Amino acid sequence: MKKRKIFIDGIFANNAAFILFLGMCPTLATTKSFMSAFGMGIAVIATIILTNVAISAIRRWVPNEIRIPVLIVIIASIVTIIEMLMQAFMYDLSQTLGVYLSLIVVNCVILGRAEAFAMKNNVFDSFLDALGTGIGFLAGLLALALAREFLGTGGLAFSSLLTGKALWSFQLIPDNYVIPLFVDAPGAFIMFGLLAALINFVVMKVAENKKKKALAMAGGK
Amino acid sequence: MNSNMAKKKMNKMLLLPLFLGVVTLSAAGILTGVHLLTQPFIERNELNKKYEGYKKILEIDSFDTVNELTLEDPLKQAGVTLKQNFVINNEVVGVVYDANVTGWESDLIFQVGFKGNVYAGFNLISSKETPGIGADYLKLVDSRIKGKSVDQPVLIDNDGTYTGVTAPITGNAVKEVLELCARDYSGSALPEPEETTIENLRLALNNENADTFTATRTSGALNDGGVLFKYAVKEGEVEAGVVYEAKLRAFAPDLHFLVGIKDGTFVGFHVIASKETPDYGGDYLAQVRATLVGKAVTAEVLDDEPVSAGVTKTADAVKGVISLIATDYSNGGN
Repeated sequence: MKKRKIFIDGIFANNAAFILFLGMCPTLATTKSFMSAFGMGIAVIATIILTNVAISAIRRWVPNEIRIPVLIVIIASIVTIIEMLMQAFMYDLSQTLGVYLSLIVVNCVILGRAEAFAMKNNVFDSFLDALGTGIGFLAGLLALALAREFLGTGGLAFSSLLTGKALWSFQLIPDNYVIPLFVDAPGAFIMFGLLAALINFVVMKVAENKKKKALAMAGGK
Repeated sequence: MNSNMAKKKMNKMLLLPLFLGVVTLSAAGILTGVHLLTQPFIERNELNKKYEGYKKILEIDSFDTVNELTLEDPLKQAGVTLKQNFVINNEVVGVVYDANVTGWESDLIFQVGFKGNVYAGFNLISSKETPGIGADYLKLVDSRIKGKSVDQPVLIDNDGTYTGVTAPITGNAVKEVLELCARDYSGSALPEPEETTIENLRLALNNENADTFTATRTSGALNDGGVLFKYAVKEGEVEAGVVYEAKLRAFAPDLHFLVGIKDGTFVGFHVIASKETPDYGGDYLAQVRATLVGKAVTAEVLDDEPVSAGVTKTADAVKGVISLIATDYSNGGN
C-alpha cells in the first residue's frame, strides 16, 4: 500500500470518529471545550503512535493465541505512562480530562489499529497509519468541540496545555442568543449526529464523483 | 507423531504464559521507572496547587506563618487530613481544612476555608468524579458557599436557587465534611458517637443472656478506619465476648454495624443501619453475615468471598474494617 494512502486514509476515508464511529465515549465527553478536546486528541495521538510502533516492532514474536492480552498490556502501559507524564508536566489538563485519560486504554481506535494494522505491517507503515488515524481523530474532536463550545458559549477560549493559564478568548454571540444545550450531554449527541451526517454526505459525494470520473475515463478509452 | 504433538502442546502450555509473563514484567519495570521519574513532579504540582488554593480561598497574596492545628477525631473520620491557620502581621486571617473523601470515586481532595464567621471558599485539588456530573457539581461549590455564615446549612440542592447539575453522592460527601468543618471552626461541639444498646450487643454475639458491658472508645488506625467502640460484654460474671462497633461510608454514608467475637471466632455481624442499595450492597451485607459467623478471626477472612458486579465499594469498605478488627483482636485487643 502506498505510504501516502496509508496516512491520508486514517484522516479521511477511515476517520475514527465520524466514519468508523470508534472512540465515541471520549469524543462525546471531552468535546465540551476546544482545549480539553485538543488535549485529549494529543494524548490519543501519542498513545496510538507509541502502541502501533511498539506492537509492530514485536509482532513477529507475539504468539497468535495470546496477541490480545499482549496488546492490552502494551496499550495499558503506554496509557499509564502518558497519564503519569501529563500529571507531572500538564497537571491542569490531566485534571480536566479526568477519568477519560485512563479510559484511552479501552478506546477502540487504539486496539483496532493495533490489531488490524500494526500486527500485520512494518514499523514505518504502522507509524504512518497511527499518525493519520490520530490526526483524523484529533480533527474529529476539534470539529465537534469547536461547534459545541461556539454555539454553547458564544465564543472560544484558548489556554496553555502546560500551565492551564488562559491565553486568549473571544465571544461573538451575545449571552442571550447562545444555546447552552450544546455544552451539555444531549447537545453532544445532537451535534455529533449533525456533523456525522454532514461529513458522510461529503465523503459519499466525493466517492461518487471519483466513480463518475473513472467511468468517464473508461468510456473515453 | 503423538510424542511430537504432546511436545508441541507442552511447549505452548509453558511458552505462552512465559511470554505473557515477560511482557508483563517488562511493562511493570518501565512503569516503575516512569513512576519514580514523575512522582516528584506530581507531588510538587499537588503541593503548588494546595498553596495556591490557600491563598485563593483566603484572598491573600502571601502569609507570614502557617500553623498546623489539632484535628478532632470526628474530623479525621470524616476525611479531614489537615487544619491550618494563616497568620499575617501576627493576626490570624483564616483557617483552611484539607480533606480527602470518597465521593462517587475515592480521592476527592479539596480544601475549605473560613474567615470571620463565614465560609471563605472551596478549592478542588483533584478528583476522579465523572466529568459532566460530579465534576461539574464541584465547579460550583465555591460560589455556592462563599460568604455563607458558618451556622447555615450549605449546598442545598432543592431550595429552588440552585440550577446546576445534581450529583447526590458527590454532593453529600462534600456537604458532610463542609458542615463538620464549619462546626469545628465555630467552636461548636462536634457530634460524638453514642454507645450502642445491650440489645444490639446481644444480637451481635448471638447471646440473649448477655447483660452488662464495658465500652472503650477506640483510637489510632482502628478509629481512623471507622471503628468507634469496642465492648467487653458479660453474661453474669462470665465473659460473653467482644463486640466492635463500626460506622463508615461504603457506597452510601453511615453504614453502621457490629461485629461479635468470642474465643477467637466471629459469632455475629449485626447491621444497625444501612443505606446500601438493597439488591446490591444490601445483599452483600447478608452474605458477609453468613460467611463470618463461625470463622476464625483472621484479617483475610473475607478475601475469598465472591463480590458481585456493582458491589465493589461496599465490599471494599466492609473488608477493610473487618481486617482492622481482626488485626486488633489478634494483637491482644481482646
